[in-house]
Amino acid sequence: MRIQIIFRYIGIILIFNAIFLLISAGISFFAEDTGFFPLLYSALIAALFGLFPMIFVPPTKDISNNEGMMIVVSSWLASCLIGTLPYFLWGGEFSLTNAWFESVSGYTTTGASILNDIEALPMGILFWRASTHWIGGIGIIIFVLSVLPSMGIAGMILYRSEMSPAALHQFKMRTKEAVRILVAVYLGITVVETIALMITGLNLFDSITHTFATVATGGFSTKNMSIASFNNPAAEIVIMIFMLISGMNFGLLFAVIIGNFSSLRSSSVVKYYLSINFIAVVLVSLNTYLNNYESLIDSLRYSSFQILSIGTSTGFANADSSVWPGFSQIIIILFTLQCACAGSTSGGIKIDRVIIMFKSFYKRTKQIMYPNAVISISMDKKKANDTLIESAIIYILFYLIIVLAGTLILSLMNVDALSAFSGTSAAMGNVGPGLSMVGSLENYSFIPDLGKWVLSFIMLLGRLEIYGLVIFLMPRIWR
Amino acid sequence: MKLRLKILGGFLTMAFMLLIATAWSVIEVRSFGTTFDEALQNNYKSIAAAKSMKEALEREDSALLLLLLENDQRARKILYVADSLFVNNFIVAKSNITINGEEELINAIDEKYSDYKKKWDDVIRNGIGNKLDWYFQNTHESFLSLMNSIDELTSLNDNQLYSTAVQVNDRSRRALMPGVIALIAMIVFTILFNYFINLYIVTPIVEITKRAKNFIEHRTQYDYHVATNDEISKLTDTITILCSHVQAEESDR
Repeated sequence: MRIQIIFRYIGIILIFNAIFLLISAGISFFAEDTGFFPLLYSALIAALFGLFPMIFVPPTKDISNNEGMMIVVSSWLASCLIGTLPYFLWGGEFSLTNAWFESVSGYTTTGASILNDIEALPMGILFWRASTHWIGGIGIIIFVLSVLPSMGIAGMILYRSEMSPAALHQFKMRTKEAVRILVAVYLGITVVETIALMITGLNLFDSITHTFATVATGGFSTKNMSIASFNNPAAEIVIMIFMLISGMNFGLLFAVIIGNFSSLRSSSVVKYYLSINFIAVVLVSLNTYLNNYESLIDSLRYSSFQILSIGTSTGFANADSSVWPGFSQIIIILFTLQCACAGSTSGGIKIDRVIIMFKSFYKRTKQIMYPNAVISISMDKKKANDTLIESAIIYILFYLIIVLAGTLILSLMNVDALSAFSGTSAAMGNVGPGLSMVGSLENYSFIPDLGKWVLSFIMLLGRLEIYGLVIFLMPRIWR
Repeated sequence: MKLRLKILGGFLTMAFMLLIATAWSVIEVRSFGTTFDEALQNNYKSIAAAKSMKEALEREDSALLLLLLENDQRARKILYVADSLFVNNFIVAKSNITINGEEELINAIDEKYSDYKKKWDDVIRNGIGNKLDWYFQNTHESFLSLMNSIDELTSLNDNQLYSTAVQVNDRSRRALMPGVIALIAMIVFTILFNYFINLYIVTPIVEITKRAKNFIEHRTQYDYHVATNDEISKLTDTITILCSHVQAEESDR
């Protein structure tokens, strides 16, 4: 393992972060708020740490798979660490633990916050908070690959290490082209949503920050009461549409943009994704209409927003789902675990794996009935090989084990069972809000410091899809 | 990049970070002082003025009780002294409006005091029949309402003082933190610097020396390349040429 090469690539990532820190500092400067110096100083530290390895380490286009994996994981950790700085330096509610939690939550697009008073933050810090979502949404490495000149094999290895294995199955194209498509779709959605939100009456700052949080399926808002504070049904509809879009595979979205609608129509993942969300919205709307709301319109408005928000792992809120009946809450928990499609910015187990799991179950059942039959599993006319099936099932299994382990650890710290389970599930799925004490309009400030570190680790595990972080922690890999 | 530049770049990076940390700390300490001064100047002055106004009012109230006891001369004397104390402190408070809502309170106090003063001034000048009724049904209520407004002014400034204290606490942390972060960053930089110097300067020199020695003693093929484009790579290229020249001359002989 050539550690110096890893340092060089981390350097590039830090410089990329420094640019966003500088933009945030600029916003603070014009807003004349207290975030200017913390952001500027953090930008300088990020830039200096980024430039330092470049002075010594010569560029290389030849990296191994393990080096690629280490670069990706180290870049996430380094970004989270640098992202902690402006919060910690600014102070307020940000202790070191809180700042780290907020930073990890931002980059992993979880959107879980420790803040009781978000509106007390200066504009620059609020922008930085939203930026961490936007940078983390598509993946830092993908962004950097899109702006750097061709990096040859190194680029391909980094791309494969960054992308979800479930998504790689869908992206059968050259690295440069795949990266170009991902970034083009991401930027396109960002611009369109910003304009749409401004038309609904949000100001430019709120439109940009909420767009960053939507397209990245993050969930950080600039308001204490999240989207509920706007009380703007038009803005809620725009956000719902873009949450739904951001939860889809970006390759498919690109196909639609260039006029190839058939790929969207024939995608079993998209069909499942849209129908499961539709069914959940109908069921929860009826359930909450009978128990919580006086009008069906209200129950439809709140239920559809909350379900899409959780189902795409965004985590925005326009109502307090903690007071909803048990049936609706169970659906929320199921959506927290499953989330949206691979190849999107959402977290969770992902629908692709859930479909593979169901198809494997069906295959197993059929195999028992017809022991000599050769039965294969295919998704969208592409045959899924055994490695893909095995890795999907092992992933789901370990995902659930981690959620249970996290719940157990939080329960040990006297966090109530529902908050512990839903909070851990929301952290692992990069969803953000859970239920009870960590509900849609609550926050994570009451969790003990150790619990916040555990949840931060779980968020990273979820974002890096378990294997990356586990391999990173193995001493053997560093030899 | 040349070695000299690399080393200089490394040191400059560290120096730049220290410079920024120091500059920020100085700015924060200065603004920390300003905030502290502002707190004293703006809020504490108003709180002290409000306290004196209350004292003046209590004296006036005592003087009115003396009026009830027919001790007119002493009452008059106390009233005029207390009035002067009140007015002087009111001017201080009025010229020190710094918080939202403070101006409205000052205006209310002004209005209420004028009303209160008019009541006892009338009695002093013209006299009154039933002084007990006049005091309890008329003047005392005005007195209590005025005291309430002054209490509100004190509490408004107290709250502002508290929030300034929180701000000062935050600023002191901000003044301290750049230094702490710079210190941690310097330690990390030093480790990294040492690692790079060792990897790209010391190790190649050791390796070049070893291979050159092997060539001199055993005529082992000198074959060593470095990835960097600096003096070390030039040195190793030169030694490679030198060795091949020596080998060529020896084979010619």
